[in-house]
Amino acid sequence: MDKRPFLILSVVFVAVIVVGQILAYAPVYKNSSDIWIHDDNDIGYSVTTNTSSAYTAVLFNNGDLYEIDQILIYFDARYPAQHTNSYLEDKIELTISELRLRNSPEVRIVDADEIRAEILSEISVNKYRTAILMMTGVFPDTIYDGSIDSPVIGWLEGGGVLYWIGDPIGMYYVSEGDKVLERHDGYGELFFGTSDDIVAQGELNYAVVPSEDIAIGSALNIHYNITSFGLDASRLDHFISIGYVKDGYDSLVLTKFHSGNGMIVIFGGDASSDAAPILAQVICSRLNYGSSVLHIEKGIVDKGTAIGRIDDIEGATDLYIYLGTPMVIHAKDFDLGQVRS
Amino acid sequence: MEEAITHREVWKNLARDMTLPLMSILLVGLAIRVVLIPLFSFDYDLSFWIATGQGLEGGRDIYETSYYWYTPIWGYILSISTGFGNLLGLSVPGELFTELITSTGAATIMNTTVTTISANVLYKMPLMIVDIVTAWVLYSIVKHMTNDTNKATIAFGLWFLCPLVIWSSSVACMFDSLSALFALVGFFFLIKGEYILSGPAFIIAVSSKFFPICLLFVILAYILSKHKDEIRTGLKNIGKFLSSGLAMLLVIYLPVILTGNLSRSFEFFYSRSESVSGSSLDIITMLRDISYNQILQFAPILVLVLILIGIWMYRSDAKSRDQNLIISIVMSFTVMFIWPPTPTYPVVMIPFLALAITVCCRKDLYWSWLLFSVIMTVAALSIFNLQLLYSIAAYTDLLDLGYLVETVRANEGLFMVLERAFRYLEFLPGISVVYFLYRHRKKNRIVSGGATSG
Repeated sequence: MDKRPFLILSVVFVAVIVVGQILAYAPVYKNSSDIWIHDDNDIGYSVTTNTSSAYTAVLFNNGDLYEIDQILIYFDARYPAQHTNSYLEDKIELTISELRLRNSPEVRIVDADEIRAEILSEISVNKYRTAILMMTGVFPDTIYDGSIDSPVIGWLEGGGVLYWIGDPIGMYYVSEGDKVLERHDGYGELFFGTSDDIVAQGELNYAVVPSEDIAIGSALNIHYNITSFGLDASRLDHFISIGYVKDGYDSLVLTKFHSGNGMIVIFGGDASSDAAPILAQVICSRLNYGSSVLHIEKGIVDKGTAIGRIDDIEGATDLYIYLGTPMVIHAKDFDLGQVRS
Repeated sequence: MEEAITHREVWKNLARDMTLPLMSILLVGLAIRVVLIPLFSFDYDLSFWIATGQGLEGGRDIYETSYYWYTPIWGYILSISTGFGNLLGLSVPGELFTELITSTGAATIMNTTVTTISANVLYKMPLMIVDIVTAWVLYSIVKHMTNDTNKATIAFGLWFLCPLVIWSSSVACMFDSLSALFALVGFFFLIKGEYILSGPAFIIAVSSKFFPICLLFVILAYILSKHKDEIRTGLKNIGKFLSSGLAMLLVIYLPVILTGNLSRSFEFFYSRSESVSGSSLDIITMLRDISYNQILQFAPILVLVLILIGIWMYRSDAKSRDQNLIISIVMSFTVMFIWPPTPTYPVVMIPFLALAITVCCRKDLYWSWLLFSVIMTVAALSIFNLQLLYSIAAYTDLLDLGYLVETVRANEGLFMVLERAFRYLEFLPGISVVYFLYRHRKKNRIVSGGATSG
């Protein structure tokens, strides 16, 4: 038998591999979105892509509580954490990728010294335009040592925005080179003005009951239901709970810091690949504890541009557009105040 | 004489060979696939494929989203499927369904996504093509080795109508058949002495699914065995096989290496190794917590057995060498799959079982084929159970998703018992191969012993 048919088969398959490589590694896909204001103050928007994808435009009232210019993700290989360094590096890299996909403000990884410097700098000028994302499950002692004088507490009082995932917030802090984590009781009082049991204690739980503000989560296609370190939101004053609830613990809560202007956002699970797009969606949509959804539009854009128009609704502050379902392939938050000005 | 047949003649022969049985097998196999592909899907694995595709649409590479952690070949095919999806206007490959959260407490995005029927078709279509091509390659090889159209037709059917193969490509959307195809092509080039072509084919097989790596000793032994009297030629041919294979490996991995994702492409291997690292070698404990990853705990024994099979291969004489290669390959795969594997893994072995049955006349192995086909498929069914119907329920009016999810939840215990039972039954196919090969060898010894004494 002649070898040529099999040779041709092999050559064709190698050609398939090369085409696949090009589609996988060349910048083939382009996605973008834009908005403008019509003369009658209606909001116009466009979504452009060379894919065929579903899009959603969500009009939010996010108030004017926070203006974030940069997102700092804490990681310092010198300080122990609840996960290995390689695991955390992987999840942080993934989260950054998800944030950038959504046109986030500048993202930087900061070590224990840098995070302290950034926090102290904002406190000193009393200007809070930084969000911090903690995925290590433990604070470095440069910003938190269990006392009310910890820099992170002062920063939250002033107006800092802290996103936290993994372990009860404030339960652990650690010094450089420590072998074990320092446990501190009383974190509930420090961070939420109540007892420690406001935070679930780590038993792996998947909640099934939608929380009060699930509509906000659904608008963003977020369905986050892990309550291992969830928060008992019923004991908070100003909050939205956009995930699910189990045994009184909410999986995803955005709450005002109890004794100041800052905000704490608690994700009830651990840093993971699954959590990364959800973290990014919450952060990039500029949600806060006062947010509400005013209007949602959905549509399909097939290798071209979809154009939409939304009535000017009182209180609207942000239009968040995201493309792709179930996974987001592009997203952008538009600050209507900035566009109007 | 065979060399004189041109590729045109191969096609002509195939057209001539399109007898009623062959046509019937082809049509029945296609009909089954056409029904299964859109309607029955395991959304969990498919969700990873669509998420990888959407990662590409977002300007990221196949590993960047962390939804893909296999060797890259299937990722490249996913990128082409995704491109086709866009050309065809597939805008929604899947959706999150809250029923899966509120009823089962499923947590991850993958567990709560139900893929659309269009996406099921899109991502399974390349595998259906692979199934057809593999059947044709198998047919051609058997025809080449036996010059018997009936045997070639049987081999075609043993692949194309194998429930496990159909399950793997048309329901589970797993790419084991791709590995089987190129293991088979590599085998053909090997017996033809085309080492420069065999190496790359073998590497494509290994880069699709890792299992054909177990054939390395057998292949090297086969090449050396062919040149027992001229060891330098044998070593030169091994050099050709390995260097061409390495060149192919470089072609496949170049973008992965350049983007620094080489380690991620082996994550499937690390994660499985880690899961059994430091585990007990106590057989009772292992049987109680049975999983395929445990096979890594037997790695030294496996390597030793594979080397012994290679030595047996090397000792073959010219007359039986090609047939012994088939038997050696079947034995090597049996070593890999005798410990209960994930159901689709043995797909790569099915063409070689078909070769053993038809070319080597090991008809007893029909039973092994049947055991692999039935036990593995039913084991997979018990794992996937009614979840296979989620796509129909979510995107048609034929079933109610909420009811289905509740039913799955209510019967979780039953499905787990079934899964466990079939997990133990998965020992049988591999054991049957060993038994039938041993029995055949024993019979042959008695016959040859009898002939000598007679």
